[in-house]
Amino acid sequence: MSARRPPNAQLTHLGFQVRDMDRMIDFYTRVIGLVMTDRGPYYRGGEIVFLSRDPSEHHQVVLASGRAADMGTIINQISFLVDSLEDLREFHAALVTEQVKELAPRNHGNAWSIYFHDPEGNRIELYAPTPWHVGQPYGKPLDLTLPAETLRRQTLEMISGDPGFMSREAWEAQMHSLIVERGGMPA
Amino acid sequence: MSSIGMGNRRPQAQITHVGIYVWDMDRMVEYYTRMLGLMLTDRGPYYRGGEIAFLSRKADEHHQVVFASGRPPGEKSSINQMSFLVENLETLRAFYAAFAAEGQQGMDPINHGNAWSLYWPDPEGNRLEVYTYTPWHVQQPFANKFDLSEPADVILEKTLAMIKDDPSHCPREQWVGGQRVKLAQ
Repeated sequence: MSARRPPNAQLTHLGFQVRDMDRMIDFYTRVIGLVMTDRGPYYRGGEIVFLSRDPSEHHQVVLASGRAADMGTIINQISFLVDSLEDLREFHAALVTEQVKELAPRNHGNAWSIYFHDPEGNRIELYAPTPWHVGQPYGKPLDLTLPAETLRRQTLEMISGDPGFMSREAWEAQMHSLIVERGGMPA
Repeated sequence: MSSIGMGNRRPQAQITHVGIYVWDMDRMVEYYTRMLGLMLTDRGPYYRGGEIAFLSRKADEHHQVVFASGRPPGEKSSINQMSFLVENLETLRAFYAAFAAEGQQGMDPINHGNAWSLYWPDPEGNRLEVYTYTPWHVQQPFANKFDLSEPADVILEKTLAMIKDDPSHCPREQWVGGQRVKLAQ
């Protein structure tokens, strides 16, 4: 397999272990907006729940029972793309009302993000892409109570002097060439 | 109380990437680029401490998989599955053959009726999946072992035989259409 890139394989879903199934279903459906598609006994033991909000995907998030009380989480982020900065601000207001833990908005220059914990300490990210690219990792504080137009202007001022700064279109074209050059099949 | 069907669903939010804590960054980056064809897009110091690496094989996504250093020693993986969609059954069979040739341990092919899956553990015990859709839907969970070394037409025939008497069985297009209606409510 080292001679050429493996066939295309695109990340579509993630499953993780949970302690309190009902509480986690409530959170992911009510707060994130996923829909429960199926629930039942799991062939590997315990119970399994499938959640999605893409009509062509049976599941995008899978919850499996069996996380022990003393077991940590190795999840650094489970990240969901939202349609716009305006939608991100709407989520932010809802998360404040929900009193989620570790609520931390972050400006990555190429994306505006909100990080927070689900009820079992898994770190969730909601994000909207900016019209620009800048070398990563890049992270600055972000105040999502400010109007969207103000945030757009502040972001451009913040990153336009960065050596890795370019338009999103220019960066995507560069990524496309890189993936092709390395023998891949860009989606 | 779920907001489903009550006209106040949250704005659209689609899962696009996943980050996990790792023990051995170099080994994990090498494994995911070689086995799944991901590309390292950036790597550097992490503002939350340690190091972070970004991987993608989609031109418009900076990262689909993220590795962050600092997984505590001895910490069990809480990942049940990290799953990648492949083109078709032939592609899935090619992955299986390539992994077998590499001597990959712990491969577990499962026929879910609505999808054919290959599960296996990465070097740090996280369960990975490559899968493709069957032409049908059947209520989940549904899981039977199957043999990915058999020809694709044999697998297809056996799959239909396995699910055709299940009352929830229907063509995939019909199920997707139903989901579209449900999600629009």
